[in-house]
Amino acid sequence: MKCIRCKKKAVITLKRHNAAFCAECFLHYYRNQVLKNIQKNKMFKKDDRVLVVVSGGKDSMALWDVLAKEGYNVTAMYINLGIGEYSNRSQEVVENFAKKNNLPLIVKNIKEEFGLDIYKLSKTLKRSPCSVCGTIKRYLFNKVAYDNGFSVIATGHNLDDEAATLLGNILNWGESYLARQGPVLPQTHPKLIKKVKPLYTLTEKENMYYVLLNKIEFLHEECPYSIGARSILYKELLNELEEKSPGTKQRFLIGFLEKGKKHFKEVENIELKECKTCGHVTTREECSFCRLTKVSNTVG
Amino acid sequence: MTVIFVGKNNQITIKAPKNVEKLAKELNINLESHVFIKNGEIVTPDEILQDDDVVEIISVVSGG
Ligand SMILES: [Zn+2]
Ligand SMILES: [Zn+2]
Repeated sequence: MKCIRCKKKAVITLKRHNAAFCAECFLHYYRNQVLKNIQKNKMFKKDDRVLVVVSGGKDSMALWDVLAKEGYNVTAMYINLGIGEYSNRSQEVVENFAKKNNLPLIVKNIKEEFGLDIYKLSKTLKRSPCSVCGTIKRYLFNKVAYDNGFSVIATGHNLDDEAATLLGNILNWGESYLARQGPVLPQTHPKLIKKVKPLYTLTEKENMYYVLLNKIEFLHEECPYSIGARSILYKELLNELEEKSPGTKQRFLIGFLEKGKKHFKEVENIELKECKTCGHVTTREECSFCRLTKVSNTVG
Repeated sequence: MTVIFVGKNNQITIKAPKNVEKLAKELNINLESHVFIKNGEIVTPDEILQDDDVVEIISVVSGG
């Protein structure tokens, strides 16, 4: 098989684009996709200060690398979630990359700085660890972005993540989720920073190729709490469809964004308030992060 | 050929020659969710694999 761009031997085939690429031309394609996504969706410009959410996994490492190489003003942020060795190893990966490439990195540790323990909280509150973790991450990324004057938060969500989320939201007819899902979550309050997903048209496999070809260190291991997650089942189902009918994932997601999304509206009119304890935006008297901290203090 | 499942601590020997696509079918592995590496280089589904090749298979599906 030959590269469709330069006719050298291909190493990567992308069936949904009817394309095959050599390493160099694949990286060219990848960069172009990212730049196109950023520009087309008006995610950010060269003078915006971008906070990149990193976990040490392939997707966020690829995002961090490509944005830095393209000359965007990026600072990465990593949260140590205190999930045993998994967290320590991922922090090491992220710190090594920052050091090696001389890139700014903000590290937060929820156990050391806030006394939060995901496992204990999830037991006490009878909530899944992933939902507790999600609350903490959303709060801290937004807080750090707001406190430090970042204009936008970028995450490594890929085509597979987005298609799996969409499938889940449709199976459950989550109207307000469907109304909101997309590559850009606009700023709806001065204290809620805009969120963007520059990799939303790139598959997990393409992100894997990107980190392998660039020899970027990443953590292959998964968070132990994600094992058996519903999202993984959805991804596997979508990949079965994709194998038989290339382009399914992209048609599903892009078709929804272009034709389906407009038919969904946020169900209730949510009133945004400011948390009585920390001032963060919330729909209640006190935000969910401050409530977690309180539970954590009482349980000890 | 030697087939290594990266991150799974698992390694098997498979009869060659055959291409990546055939190997994937034989192992019931989805080509869309796995990357195939032959002797350290990423390869396409039509790549022929021989007895002395070392093939690494990496799953790309992650949670979250
Ligand atoms: Zn080429
Ligand atoms: Zn609060």
